[in-house]
Amino acid sequence: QQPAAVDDAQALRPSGPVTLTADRGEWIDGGEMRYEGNVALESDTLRLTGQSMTVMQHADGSFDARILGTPARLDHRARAGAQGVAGQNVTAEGQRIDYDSRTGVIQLQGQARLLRGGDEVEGERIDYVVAERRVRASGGSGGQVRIVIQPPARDDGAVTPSPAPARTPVPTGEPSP
Amino acid sequence: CGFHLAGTRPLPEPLQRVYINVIAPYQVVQPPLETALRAILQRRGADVRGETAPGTAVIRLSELEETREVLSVGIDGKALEFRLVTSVQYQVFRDGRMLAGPDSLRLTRDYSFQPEQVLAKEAEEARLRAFIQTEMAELMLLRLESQLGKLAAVSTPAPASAP
Amino acid sequence: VEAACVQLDETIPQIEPSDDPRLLLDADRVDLDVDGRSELEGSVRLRFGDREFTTEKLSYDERERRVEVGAPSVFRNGDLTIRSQSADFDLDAETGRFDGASFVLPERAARGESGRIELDAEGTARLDAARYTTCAPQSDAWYLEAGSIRLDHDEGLGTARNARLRFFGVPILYAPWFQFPIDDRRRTGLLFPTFGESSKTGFDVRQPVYFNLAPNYDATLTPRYMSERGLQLDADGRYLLRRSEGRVGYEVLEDRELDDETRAYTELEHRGLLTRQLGVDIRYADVSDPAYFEDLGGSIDLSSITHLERSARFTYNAPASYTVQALFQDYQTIASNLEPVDDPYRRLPQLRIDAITRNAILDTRLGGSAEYVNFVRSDSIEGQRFDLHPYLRMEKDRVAWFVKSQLDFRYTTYELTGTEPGRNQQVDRALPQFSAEYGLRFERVTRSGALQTLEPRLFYLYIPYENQDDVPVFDSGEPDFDLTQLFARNRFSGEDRISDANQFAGAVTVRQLDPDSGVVRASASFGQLFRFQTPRVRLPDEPAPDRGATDFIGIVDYRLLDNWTLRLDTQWSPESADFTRTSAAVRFRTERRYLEVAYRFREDLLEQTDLLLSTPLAAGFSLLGRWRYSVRDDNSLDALAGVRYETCCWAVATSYRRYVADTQGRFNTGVYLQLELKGLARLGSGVSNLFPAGVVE
Repeated sequence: QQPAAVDDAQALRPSGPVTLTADRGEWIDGGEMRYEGNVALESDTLRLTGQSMTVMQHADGSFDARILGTPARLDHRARAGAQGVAGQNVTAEGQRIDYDSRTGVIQLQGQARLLRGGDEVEGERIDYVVAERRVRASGGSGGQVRIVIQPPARDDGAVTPSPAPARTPVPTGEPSP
Repeated sequence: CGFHLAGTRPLPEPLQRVYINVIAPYQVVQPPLETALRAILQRRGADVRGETAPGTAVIRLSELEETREVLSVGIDGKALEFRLVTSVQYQVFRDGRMLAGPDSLRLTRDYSFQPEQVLAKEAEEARLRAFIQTEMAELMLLRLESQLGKLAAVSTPAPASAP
Repeated sequence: VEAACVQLDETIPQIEPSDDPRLLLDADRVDLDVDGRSELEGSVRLRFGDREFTTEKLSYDERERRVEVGAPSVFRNGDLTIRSQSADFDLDAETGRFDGASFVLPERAARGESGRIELDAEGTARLDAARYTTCAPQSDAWYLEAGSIRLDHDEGLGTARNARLRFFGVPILYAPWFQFPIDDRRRTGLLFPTFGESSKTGFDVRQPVYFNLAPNYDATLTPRYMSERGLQLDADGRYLLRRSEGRVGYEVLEDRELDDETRAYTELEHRGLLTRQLGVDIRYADVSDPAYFEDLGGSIDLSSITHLERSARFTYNAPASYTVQALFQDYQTIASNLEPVDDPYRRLPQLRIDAITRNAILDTRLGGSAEYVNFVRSDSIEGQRFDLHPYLRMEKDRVAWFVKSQLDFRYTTYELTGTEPGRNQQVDRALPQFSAEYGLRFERVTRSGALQTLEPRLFYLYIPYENQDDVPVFDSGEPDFDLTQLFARNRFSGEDRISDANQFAGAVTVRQLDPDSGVVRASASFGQLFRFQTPRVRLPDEPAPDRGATDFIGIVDYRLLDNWTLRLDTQWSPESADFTRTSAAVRFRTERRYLEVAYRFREDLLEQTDLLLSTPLAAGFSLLGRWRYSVRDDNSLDALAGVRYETCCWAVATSYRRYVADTQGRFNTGVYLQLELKGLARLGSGVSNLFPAGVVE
């Protein structure tokens, strides 16, 4: 199975170079790209993966990406050297992830679940503001958002469950978890 | 007039084999209630055991309390009559199943009091208390008999030989 | 009236305890920013261990590990439910602060408000500017207002500082420091006070304090102030040991009315097993002066006492063979209208052994008792009495009939001192006794299935005459002539006089049972004694009973309807064609109501009526009353009326009482009141002396 063509999306620059990889890619008219199979969208600290992805490129170079997966995943490595929340990796998943590079907001939907340093957020819809590493979630129709916050490490000596095993991002060919 | 000599009614089945368990802390002597109950059961043909065993019904007697209250008072404010009150709780169970009760009985007897005969009245009180407990045993068995088994249809009077 | 008031929060299901260390948050909308602050909105619910917050808006700071609740919230932790305008909670220190709060203690059904509540890790709550009550939300019948209240659930205690107790708004107590229970554990603390006014004591207030000293012993200290007599201290201790238990009581007063004479009452009761077969029963009671109870007793049950027993009783029982009893006994006579010559003898000691063979030969058993008593009484005839009493008892019971006969031989000898010169020091008496009893038992079952029994009994007693004129009278006396006396083997009670007898007694008992329960619906007994000769043994200055038929004895017990019973117990004299003793009573008894109307007559002794009533009235009121009226003296001897009003969080009981209190026939009139603010103190025995036993059946 041939690795998909690697597009150097230099144009998608908001958070630095973004690389799109997938098993198969195809243009659809009007600047919309569709990728299938082990899709991944990566910028320097951010990585989105899933089964299929459509990317809409705009004139000013910004783009909208929609990734579907069972589930689609988000990994946002901790800011090097940062303290507190910023110093923690963030992973999330959901059936659908929408990324608007203009607003820098990633929206996860469909049993969305986000993990940040052991704390966990579940809800119908989770918005993740990448730059500010900020999470906004809502229960959607009737359901509620649930946040589970682990006791701090020093508190109870016991091993704090580390976040879901951070998978070293493998560029291609690996079936996403 | 329909009366006939007693003795034809058999004891209800649970009372055929029975153990009397009296819960009376600090009592070393068998209370008259237990002695009388044992005697009545034995003469009715019951096998009164020394300790409990599977299949043996247990008649548990507890809270056996004897109190004395001032009943009548004279014009000098002193007691003229006392009322002896004896009460007991009883229940019957076998192999963990409750057959009768918990129920209670409360009997009283009054007697006059003369301050000049304290020791004699004390002896009279002791005799009355024993009488109350004996009567209590009879009443208790009458209740247990009817609760533990419907009265068997009375058969023709058996010829009883009276000396 | 329900046991406790229903507080609002009882509708929410209990928090199930959990030791999950994680913090669980649920909300409609959440916003977590990068420096660890999370904002939650929309029916927010926070769970941390067994604590829970529910509110509309809440923020959580991960770095500080602090929860801030800007909006009104409900906090619960199993012991306490707090509704506050704003609150914050430190997850590390596990402490909380709540402002503008109202709280509920579900287990105690108590509630209150507080400007600020601070909660520590152990769940102890400190309330500033607080109010506390156990009344239902809309009722402010009483509340405790305090500068601060500390609720300590481990200790189960609430401690209020500069507290004011308001009853319907009126402050009735101010205390710089006041403790009250917040659970049902036995706990040291105040019991409810009793206030009163009586002619014998003037203003009379008792404030019992309970001391829970140990799981197996406790004490109640009751200071009692009487305006006419001064301050009395009453201490009452109870103890429970491994194989014994007992009670010790001591009361002391410097009585202003008797120029500060010290008046005291001491009391001890101890019962126990020394070994499995050896029991001990010790009683001691002593008052400093005969009029003690008349002046200070406050109830007719105490003031009518004529003698206080002091005794130590040891009982050894070898199962199914013999019993040995040792008794050391003395009485303190406290009826001031009695002469010393009437004082009961002291038995120092009485030793008695009773034995009977276990099984019978030809239905006959050999038994016997031997008794030694040392009778002591100052400036009287004293003596030691040995009594030997072997007997042969034949008993045969065939349910339809029974026969019981007994042949005794009595040998009694006295070693006397203090007799008038010329009377001998040594007296003895020997005589046989013979009795035979024969009974039949008939029964039938009525159409309705009710069992009826008919049991005639005949009893013959023969005892030859033995002159006992110079036998002293230590413990003999004449008992009441009732049904039990018909079948007694001696006309007298006690051992110093054994009456000669040649008599027949007959009795018949009829009973009808309730078919289902076997309870006796109706029973009647009639009996009479027929003496073939006039007994010659008599007590000093006792009229000679006559020959021939004695009085009839009749007892009728009739359960008219389910709750009504009629009881009649009479003794009818054929010669005087009149009753010598009558006791008639009609009783109505249900679960919560009791009414008794009784008439009692004993020739040359008393003729009285007795009315008892205990019934709930409407709307939380209940009434209690007793009235004893002497027809002979045309005087009410004891009248008691009590009213109790009870709601779910407070109760007040008042009682009026007028009774003949002393030997000069003077009356004591007293009014008593007890206020019970449920949950603020424990219910001590205080209430019972407001409504003396025997009234509340």
